[in-house]
Amino acid sequence: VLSNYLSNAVKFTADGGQVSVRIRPERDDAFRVEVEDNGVGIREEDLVRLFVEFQQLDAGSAKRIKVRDSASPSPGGSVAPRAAVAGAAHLRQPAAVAPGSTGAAADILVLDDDPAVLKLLEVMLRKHGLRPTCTTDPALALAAAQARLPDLLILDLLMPGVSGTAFLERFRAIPQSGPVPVIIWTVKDLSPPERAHLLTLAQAIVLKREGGIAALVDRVLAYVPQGAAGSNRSDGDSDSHRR
Amino acid sequence: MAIPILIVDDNALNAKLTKLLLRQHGYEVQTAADAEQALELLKTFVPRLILMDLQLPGMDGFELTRRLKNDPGTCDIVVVALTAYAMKGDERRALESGCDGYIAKPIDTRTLPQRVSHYLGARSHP
Repeated sequence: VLSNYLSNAVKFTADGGQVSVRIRPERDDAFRVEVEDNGVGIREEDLVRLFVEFQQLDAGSAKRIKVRDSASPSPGGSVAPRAAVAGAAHLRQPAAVAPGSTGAAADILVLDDDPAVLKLLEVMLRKHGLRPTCTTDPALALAAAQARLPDLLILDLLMPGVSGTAFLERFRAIPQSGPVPVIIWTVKDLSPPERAHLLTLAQAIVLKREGGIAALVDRVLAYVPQGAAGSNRSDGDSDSHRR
Repeated sequence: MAIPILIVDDNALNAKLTKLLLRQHGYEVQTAADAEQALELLKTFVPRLILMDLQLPGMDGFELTRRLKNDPGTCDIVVVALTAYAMKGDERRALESGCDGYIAKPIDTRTLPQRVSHYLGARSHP
């Protein structure tokens, strides 16, 4: 698996570019491998496909190669990276987690107006054993949170119809919402006063172009415990990563 | 009269959100967190459609669907599976279990009401 990541990273990074590999322990029985390059990047919609197809893979490394090829821009460059993720493909192989690990899955409420982003986040958060509830509808998200608070909120600032700040003020008006961490996840350029105001209501601001989904997931895991990667689930979603 | 719908989902926040959405569209909605609760509820509440999360603790959604479809009292209920995003195997298994269709998670809250209405074949419904 790792050699596929690496050969692909090298292949799609120009001469003089950089490919880095990081390996770090995640818990007693697991580790995380990250491969990052500063190559052409992967379009966001392809990234969704990449992770989706990737999660379905089990032992077939031949299929993996195919997946990486299909997710990479064509050599002729005809596929312009419309939404290149920070100019780099940042892949994470979620570490294998022993079955039966404990810990209730944290409820993550995600509000973003882009359904493609929601799909990607749904997959990524589930991979980390979290329970995402994703919507593009601010009013619905607020009503659901009023009925049942999530363990963490991920909020896109630029939604049609309502400002992220107004949403956040209403969210913070919900009794007991004080301890719920909020991560703002946005493409918006924030002025220093805007930023300062938002940070009185939210715990963190992650810019979409800086580190992409990976940076967001890192930040999420700083606030809520990583679940058991769906250890109570019976589907192949998590099984495919058990070795 | 409001069309009754049952949501079977162990993710309480997600179930709440879906319930609110469908209520806004005029449906009568109940939720159950697992198969056991669903079976208990079905003794008194007969929905026209069930949104069935396949991954449930205990008896999963596949088995619950199989049971409902084999029971003359519940076999006419339309069962729509909620499948984990792009778990293609789940979709095939859902149909084999007797589900009438499936919707991939995350649920697109903008299109869910139309899809539910489509599965119900409810032409008269707003």
